[in-house]
Formats: sequence, C-alpha cells, structure tokens
Amino acid sequence: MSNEKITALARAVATGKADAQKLAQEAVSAQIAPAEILKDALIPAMKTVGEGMKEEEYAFPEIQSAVKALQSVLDILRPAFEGASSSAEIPKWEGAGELYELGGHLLTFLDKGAGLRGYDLILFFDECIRGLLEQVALPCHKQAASTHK
Amino acid sequence: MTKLMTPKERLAAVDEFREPDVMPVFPRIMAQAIYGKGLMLGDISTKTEIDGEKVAEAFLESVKEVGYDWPFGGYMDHGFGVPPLGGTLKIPDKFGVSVSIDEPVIKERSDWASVQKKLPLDPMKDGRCRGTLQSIKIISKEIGDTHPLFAAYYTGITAANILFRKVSDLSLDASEDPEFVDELCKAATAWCNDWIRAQYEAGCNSFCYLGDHFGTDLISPKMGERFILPYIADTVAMVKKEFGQKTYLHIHGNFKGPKAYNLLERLVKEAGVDGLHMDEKHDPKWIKENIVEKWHIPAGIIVHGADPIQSGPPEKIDAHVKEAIEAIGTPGLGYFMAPSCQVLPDTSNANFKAWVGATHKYGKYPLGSWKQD
Repeated sequence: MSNEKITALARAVATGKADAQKLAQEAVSAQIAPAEILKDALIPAMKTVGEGMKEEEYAFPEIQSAVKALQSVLDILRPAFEGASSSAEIPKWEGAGELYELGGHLLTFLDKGAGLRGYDLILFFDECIRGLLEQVALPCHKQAASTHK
Repeated sequence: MTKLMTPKERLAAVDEFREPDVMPVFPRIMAQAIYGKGLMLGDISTKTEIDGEKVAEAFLESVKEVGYDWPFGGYMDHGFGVPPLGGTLKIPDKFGVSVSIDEPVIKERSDWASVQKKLPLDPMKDGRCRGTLQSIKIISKEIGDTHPLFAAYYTGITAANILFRKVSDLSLDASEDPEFVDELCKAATAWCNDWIRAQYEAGCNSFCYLGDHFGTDLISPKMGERFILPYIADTVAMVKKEFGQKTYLHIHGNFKGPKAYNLLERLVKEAGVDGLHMDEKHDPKWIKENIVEKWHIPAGIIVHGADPIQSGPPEKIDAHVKEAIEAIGTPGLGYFMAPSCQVLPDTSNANFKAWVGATHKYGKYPLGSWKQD
C-alpha cells in the first residue's frame, strides 16, 4: 500500500499534478515517514524530469509545474523537521546551458542527494528548485546582456 | 569580373540559389544602430513614443558606415502594442539590451477578460508603432531602391510573451492551462499580422522576417507543434497572400535532436517558412547538411554575436568568418551571413565593420575566388 502511495506521489510530482500535495498528505497520514517520501518519491520524480529533459519531452513548462508540485509536497513535509539543523554539506546547483544539458545536470545533482537524509534532503530540494527556476529566462536576452561589463 | 550587386539583388540571388557577387550580411540589427551612433535608447524612445526621424537617421548612418546588406526599417524591440493594452515599458537610462517590459499586460490569468476588450489593437494607436512606421518611411525613401527592408515581428507563443505575459508565467500557463495559451497565441498573432501589414504599408519592400525566441530553448518540440507551428503558418500565409512576399524565420533552440528537427522540418514543409536563421548552436556544416542541402531553402550561417563579433579583435572575427564560409564549401549557394541572434547592442562599429568586411571578402563568388585577388 505504501509503495502504491509513493509511486502515485512520484508520478504526480513528475507530471506536475495539482493533487501532489493531497497525495503527500495521505502518505503522511498513512504513517509513511517523511524521510521515505523524500527519498523514494521525490528523488525518483525529479529523475523522471531530468530524463524527460534529455529526451526532448520536458522543457520549462513541464519543469515549472513539476517544481510547483514538489514545493507543495515539501510544504507538507517541512513541519516534520521543525527545529532540525543541517548535518551535511548540501550540494550547490551549478548547472546551466541547454535543456538537455540541464537535464543531465539535474540527474547528476540528484545522485549527489542520494547520501543525504531527512532535513538535509529538504534543503537539497530547496537548492534544486532554486537552481532550476533560475534557468527560466530568454537565452537571447542572457546572451545580449552577457557582453556588457 | 562579377558585376557589383545591390543588397536587394544579393537577396534575390541567395533566395533563388544563384551566385550573388558577395555573400550578403543580415545583422538583425536592433539597439546597436542606436548605441553605434553614440545615442542611448532614451534618446529615441519614451514609454509611449519613438522618434522616427532620429531612429531613421541612426539606421541610415549605420547602413552607410558599416556597409551591411539587409537592414530593418527601424529600431525593433518587444514593446510594440504593450502600452495601449495597459502594460508599461522600461527605458534603460544607461546601457540596456533594449527597451523592455516593466509591467506586463497580463499579470494574472483573470486579467485576460479585460484585455480582450481592448483587442484588436490598431498599431496606429501606439505612438511607438507610429514612430517606427515613420522611420520605415524615411529609410524606404532613402535606400529602398537598393536595399530590401524586411517587415519583422513575432508570432505564436513568442508574440504572446512579448505582448501579454512574462516568460516564466506564460511558461507555467503552457503546462497548467494550455487552452489559455492558445487564446493568447491567437490574439498575439492577429496583432502580429496587423503590425506587419502596417510595416508593409509604410514602405517595407521585401520579405517578412519572423522571430521566435521560445523555439526549443524554452518549450518542448511537442509544445512547439501547438504554440509555434500553426501561428507561423498563419503569418506566412497572410504575407504571401496579401503582399506576395516570402517569410524567413529566426528561431532559437537546439534543433539537432530528432523531435526538434521534426518540428523544424514541419515549419518549412507545412508552415511554409522560406528561409531559416538558426542560433549559435548550429555550425555552418550542420546548416548546410540539414537545411540547405536537405530542404533546398536558404539559410544564414552563424558567427556568434558575443564572441567574436562583440568581443573582437578584428583579426579573430576575420578568422571566424573565413572558417565559417570555408565550411560550406563550393558552390555555396543559398547562404547569407547572420549573427546569433543579433549584432549585440554594445558591439563597436569597428568590430561590426570587420565582420561585414570579412564576409564580403571571403564570401566573394565563386566562393574561394578571394584567394586570387
């Protein structure tokens, strides 16, 4: 049962469904540990996003809606870590470039999160979200602005 | 000795896969013409008006000094149509890439109902459009006999972004409420067509040059089929039917992947795009093999706008141009030189001239004949 909930949640986040938050709440109510949700639902969900970017299926609209769903799930999980502090170094997002390159970077970044636990994973996803959303801009404007010192 | 052609004749030669005298240069010039004259954007534009005479003077001087082939008829940015619909513009007080949108027309999806009541929008109700049309008139009168003046704007989701909605909001809309984006694309393309009609009536005498900055940089090929393809087709058909002109497209994104390439092919074969100007992700060899030789349509070969055109030095620009032209080999028909994606606003006229000069030197036809000079 818990596997089904985790799988459904992962799918909802990966496809940016509005019911992701409701599914997360149901998972918490079903006594699935937040740490398990983070690791077994959210990491695979974002891996699906990264793969989609590499396969020309996902671009910024899909990324943004997945991130929005991810944020809504983190909002549900965050209270479970109230008062917690970070116990590990959180990887920094450094990816840029074309969508397929960003997809590759996302997959590598998610692998770096594999060793993190609990609250550190919350911070890890915060960094992932920040890094991804920072890329939503017109590349031609970035280029035109890049040369001016 | 090859007869010296006018830029208009060079365009016709490229388009018909004949030899021009030299490879023509399309700089897709926008703010550089203003900065190149020592002006700031605030000198030619307010939030509601463009000084057409000043713009025309700057562009005519730019064409004369730099010697490129295909100019626009005026300063182009993303602000046309925005103020009459309730959006506001930002005029950079020092250097800036362009006049940009400060407050978009649609901040919330619920704003759309009230915006719709202001449509269709007459370009003549926008002082910045009127100023640009004045510039087109002046430039057309001065150099229209020798130079092609393209009508230019954007369609589909790019036009919807420019006219109505911030990139990040529109991008999320595309995923969450695609029907809403369909409506925006339709309305923005109708505006695009009216704005292009006005440019032709003012004196544009050549092809239509559409831009698309979403391409596959921001949306997937699948979304491109929905939010780009039908709208390009619509404008291409209008331009052909009403003005008997062809349409070239400048589009952003990497089109080397199979799904993206399929979209590009559909833009040519179904939407009827007559020529392509890609971005810097596509080198001349790729353009030759995958566009010009495969679909037999003209295309621009790219020298990057930032490095080397903006960065220089002229020797480096010269070497890049030589390499790009040599990459297409002989006979090299159907090519023009273009930057990605524009001659950047802070490019010096010296570097700009070096790029144009090198193209005319190494792009002398028959290609390779420069070695005998």
